[in-house]
Amino acid sequence: MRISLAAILAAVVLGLLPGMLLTAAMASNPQEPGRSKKNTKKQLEAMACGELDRKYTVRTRDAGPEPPVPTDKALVYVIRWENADTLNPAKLAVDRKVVGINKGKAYFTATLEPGPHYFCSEILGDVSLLSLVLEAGKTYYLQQRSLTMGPWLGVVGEQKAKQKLAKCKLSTFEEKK
Amino acid sequence: MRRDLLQPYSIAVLALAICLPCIPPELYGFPFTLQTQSQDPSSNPPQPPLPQAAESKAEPAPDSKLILKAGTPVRLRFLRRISSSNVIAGEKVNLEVVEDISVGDSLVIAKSSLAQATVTEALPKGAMGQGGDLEFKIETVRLTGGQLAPLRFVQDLKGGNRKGVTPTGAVLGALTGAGYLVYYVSGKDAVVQKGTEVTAYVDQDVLIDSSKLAAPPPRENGRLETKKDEGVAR
Repeated sequence: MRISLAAILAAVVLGLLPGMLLTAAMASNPQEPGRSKKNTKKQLEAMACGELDRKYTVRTRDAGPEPPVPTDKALVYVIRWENADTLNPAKLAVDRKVVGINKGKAYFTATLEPGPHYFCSEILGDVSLLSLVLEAGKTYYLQQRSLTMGPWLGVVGEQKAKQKLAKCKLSTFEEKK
Repeated sequence: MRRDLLQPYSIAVLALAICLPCIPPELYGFPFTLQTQSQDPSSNPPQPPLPQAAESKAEPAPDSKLILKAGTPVRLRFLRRISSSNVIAGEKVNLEVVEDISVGDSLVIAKSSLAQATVTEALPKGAMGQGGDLEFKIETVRLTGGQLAPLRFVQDLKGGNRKGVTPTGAVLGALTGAGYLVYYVSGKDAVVQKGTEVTAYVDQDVLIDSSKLAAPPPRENGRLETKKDEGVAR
């Protein structure tokens, strides 16, 4: 009996060893976190999401004229044109700073420096991440969605975005004190 | 019963049964490619060329200049697998030149030299079958003398593993015309497999000092780095 226990113990050790070694190999080199999905998500979340736990007041109003696109910056429209789940606001943080919040059928704009930016859309604690390299003088259209399994944020085409923008109100927000 | 347990094959079977769940599933496919990218030069910023012996010589005569014409095709190959879930926009991605390119009798772009692309959009696959997006811009290729030539990408994937790349994405990538390669994958991460070939084009005329082409390539030249990378990836 003692021998059989030793055999089982040996099997357990031998069995766990390769897994442990592989896990250690995966976790190695924290300087290059973009190498596994998990690490990439973690890093992107750290660079994108911030100030999302604060309380904000959101208002909408009729959209005015389109803002001009600055030649030295990029203009980003963030649209949430769906009706569903509009009670839960979709916050958007860029580079750890909240730049806008959409309920339903609303949009906001953000003017950003050219270069890489990290976007984090949050609804009820779930996040969707996106990274983009923006170019000066260009306009980008992002869509915020609320899906059953969580939020979604992605780039949409200009034509579709403009059609939807016509039916959306401009969303503004301020932090509750 | 006791004897059975003592049999070597019993221990091996038990070890295997315990071992399998411990191995992360993503390692079943491409075992070490993704995990060793820490040493992958493709993720590092481009190294400036080292001063070469040729540079210490006198200035070459004007007639020793060559022109690499705009529009010259450069066939490139991805050095590693890229997925929309494991890159972040702004990251650099390396490709290697597939075949030598000469101007007259002078070799200006050597096979295995490095070209560089920047990831411009990375969207991991989302919930409810939302596909990932991956977009990048192929920017430069290193010439044999160490100089960088600007590239633009106007042709889509050719050869390699195109699994997961839809025809729509391929056409969109080809039509953007601004040097972008776009992949749209429905419900999955957008993936470019290691070894995928693309053809980029020299973006503008590049004046090359032919006397520098004869110089031996610096250590940081793509040829050496590529070999290192391949060794690691395998």
